[in-house]
Amino acid sequence: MTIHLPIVWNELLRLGRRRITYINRTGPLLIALAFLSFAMAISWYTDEIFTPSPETFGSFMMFLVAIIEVLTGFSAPMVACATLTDEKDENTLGLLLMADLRGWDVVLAKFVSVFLLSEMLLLSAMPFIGFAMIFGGVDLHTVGMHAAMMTSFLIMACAAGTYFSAVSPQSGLAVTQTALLLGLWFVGTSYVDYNSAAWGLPIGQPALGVLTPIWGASGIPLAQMLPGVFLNMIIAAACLFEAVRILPRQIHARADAPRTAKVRGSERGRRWARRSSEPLAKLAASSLRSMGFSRRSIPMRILAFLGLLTILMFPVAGLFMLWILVFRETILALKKAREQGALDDLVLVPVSDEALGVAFWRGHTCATRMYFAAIVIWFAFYAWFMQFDRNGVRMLLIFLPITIAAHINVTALSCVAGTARFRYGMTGSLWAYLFVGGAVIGLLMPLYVEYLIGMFPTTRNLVYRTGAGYTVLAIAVYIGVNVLGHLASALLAVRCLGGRLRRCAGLQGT
Amino acid sequence: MSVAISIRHLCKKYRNVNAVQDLSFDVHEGDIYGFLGPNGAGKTTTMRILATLLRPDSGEAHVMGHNVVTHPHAVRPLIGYMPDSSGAYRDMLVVEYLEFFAAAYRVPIDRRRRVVDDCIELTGLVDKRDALIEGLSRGMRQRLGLARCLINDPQVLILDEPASGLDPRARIEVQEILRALGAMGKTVLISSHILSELRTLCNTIGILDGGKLVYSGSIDEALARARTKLRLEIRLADRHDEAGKMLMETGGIVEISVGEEILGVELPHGTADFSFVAEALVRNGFRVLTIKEEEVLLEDAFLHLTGAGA
Ligand SMILES: Nc1ncnc2c1ncn2[C@@H]1O[C@H](COP(=O)(O)OP(=O)(O)OP(=O)(O)O)[C@@H](O)[C@H]1O
Ligand SMILES: [Mg+2]
Repeated sequence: MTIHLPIVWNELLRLGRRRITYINRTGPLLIALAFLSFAMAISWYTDEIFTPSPETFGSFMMFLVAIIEVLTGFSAPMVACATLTDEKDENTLGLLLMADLRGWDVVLAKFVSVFLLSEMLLLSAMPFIGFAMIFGGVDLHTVGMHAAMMTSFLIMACAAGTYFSAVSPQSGLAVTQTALLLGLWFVGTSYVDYNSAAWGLPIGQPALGVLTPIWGASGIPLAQMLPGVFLNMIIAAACLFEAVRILPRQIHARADAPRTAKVRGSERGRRWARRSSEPLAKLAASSLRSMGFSRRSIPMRILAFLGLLTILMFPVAGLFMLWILVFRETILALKKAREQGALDDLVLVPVSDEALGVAFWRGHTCATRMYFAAIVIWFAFYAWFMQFDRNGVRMLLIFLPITIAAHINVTALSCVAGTARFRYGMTGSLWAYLFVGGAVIGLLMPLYVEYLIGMFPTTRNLVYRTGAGYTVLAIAVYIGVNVLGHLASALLAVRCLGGRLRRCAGLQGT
Repeated sequence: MSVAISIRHLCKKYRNVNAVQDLSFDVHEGDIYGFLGPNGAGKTTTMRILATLLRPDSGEAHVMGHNVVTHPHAVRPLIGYMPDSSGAYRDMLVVEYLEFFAAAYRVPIDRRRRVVDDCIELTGLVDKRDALIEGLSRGMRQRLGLARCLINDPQVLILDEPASGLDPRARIEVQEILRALGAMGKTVLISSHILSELRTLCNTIGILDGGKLVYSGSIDEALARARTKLRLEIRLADRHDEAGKMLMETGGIVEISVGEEILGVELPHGTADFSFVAEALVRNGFRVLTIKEEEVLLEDAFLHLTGAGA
């Protein structure tokens, strides 16, 4: 059980060549800075001139640190998810194991390199920590505890990512599964945390400091942290051991082996394929499927589905997670299709660009229908949950059509994003990040505007401020505007999709 | 001569496909063993088992006396395996890639550079030394794969269709490399669909069909087996028609075909001495230019043995 340094070196070298690494390194920092300026602007606008005491400034800095940490905690396992699936993609896993390397050499080296990368990402928090310490918001003890907890979390998350990348045939799936595990971890630790006082146990903050960063670590004695750290270490060890155990079996999972799913799948899509663009849409669906949407066994599907469900427990975050996955998978599948020429037969079909775009998008909708099902189940779950809420029905009525329209919009946009030329697959995540970043700002804006000017028709207001003069008509208009907005965006995307597909396959539009 | 690769009653089944059934053969040390068979015959499967990447369902396989299933770690340093779809990290340079694998094979750091340079030179990649793998052509990648599997100086080379995607010159170069390796005493197991290449390269071949070995032995014997009849090609100065008629009356001849230039004469299978044909022709005053036994091509042998031919 040694760390094979050449693999670590190789991994870091290759990560260093990928654009996504630079984005991962600078992205969190930039977002923190953007947040800083946004907060400044808001406080200036609201005339609450920002004259903080050193203490509040320090804790504000720690809040920025927390943003960086959360983003790192999110992106590091993503990178880990691609480590071993990449080897499978490029057919090099067998070659590695044929060299004089044992499973441990490979798994541990991959894990260490991703962990090192994530620690490097954390370094971008250093200036803020420095400020915080200068202004006295935090002391060395807090920062130390923080770093220790974050490290223990990252060890766990990276190990989980490495494990799932060993199991999955494809990185998108590994991301889903990692999200499942982290989701369970989050729910479990929150539960323990919430109940530990009631149980009279000093479990306190089991590794949760990451999620409650500012107040989490301060003033808690080290001993109380240990259970959480211990839990993380156990999960990490279990993941790594299991990854080593199953690794040799993974070489045999030949990526190109089962082609049967393709045929079966396109037959199943008969219902939606009755209209004129049928054969084309079928072709699109099957080329997408053969490019990665299909490579799933039943247990994997169930696991992925559970993962989605767990994520969806957290309403808005869950939806965004889901859409990130749709984005990533589409972009990766399209990239691969382009590389292997799987798109060529599709774009050569002599139809107009519009028809091609519509057909492709329908094929894509069919290939990603699992996500649609996840949304429906999410609503079923909420419908059950909402019976305890006086405003539940109203909430559902507003949310359901908007979410469905938004989902349609997302699938269309992800197709268009996938036609952009990327050199590396991971760059696809950039689009997902950008999209989600834009959407989050789009969601936050009305909230801030509402904060500034009082009443504003946000979903929350419509649901909870029933007495405040929102009529049924107002609600209907709100829903209508949102739904139409999404659909118009989707329509625009689909219209330009065909031409883009042809261009990205190197053809002129017809 | 000792046995380098020995396979006994090897079976491998994928769900409902019998990829390899009861396969047994030996490859001797220093042999260049050609492995042929139609698509889906099970060549890749057999090679992956030998390369310790796939577990057989039953049967045994030994490489240099080590069992590939029970002692894969003893086998791995001894072999160089080149898969059919050669894997490579796209975002690395050629030299980095080879150095990485040299490190993975634990070539000492002071020798690494030299070993890598040797492999690059041997496979003709000197120009591409500092090129990104992503930008290599298919043939170049194939050479890179070959360079990679030479990096640990293996005694046994298992090459799955190494010549696919190579231009004719590169193919000859690869043949030369392989011949040189053979001369160095290395054992080579090579699968290929290019039969003419195997004809000049290999001393022994095995033909696989539907997961079963239909032939294993020397090329000459395979050709002899494919020979179901003896056909002579006779060139005369003139009067082909008359000669044909005359020979038909002589007897001991199955069929005669008269062409512009050539008189084809088919003799019964197993005829060893066909001098009587020449004698009859000369006796009757025909002016004989050449008499030649028609060659059996490896292609014919292949078709014959895999049951695809007539
Ligand atoms: N991973 C797999 N899953 C299912 N069946 C497989 C798998 N790999 C190979 N097979 C099947 O096993 C049989 C033998 O395949 P193999 O790849 O060994 O053939 P081959 O002789 O190398 O063919 P080719 O000349 O086309 O390379 C084929 O019928 C193939 O379909
Ligand atoms: Mg093959």
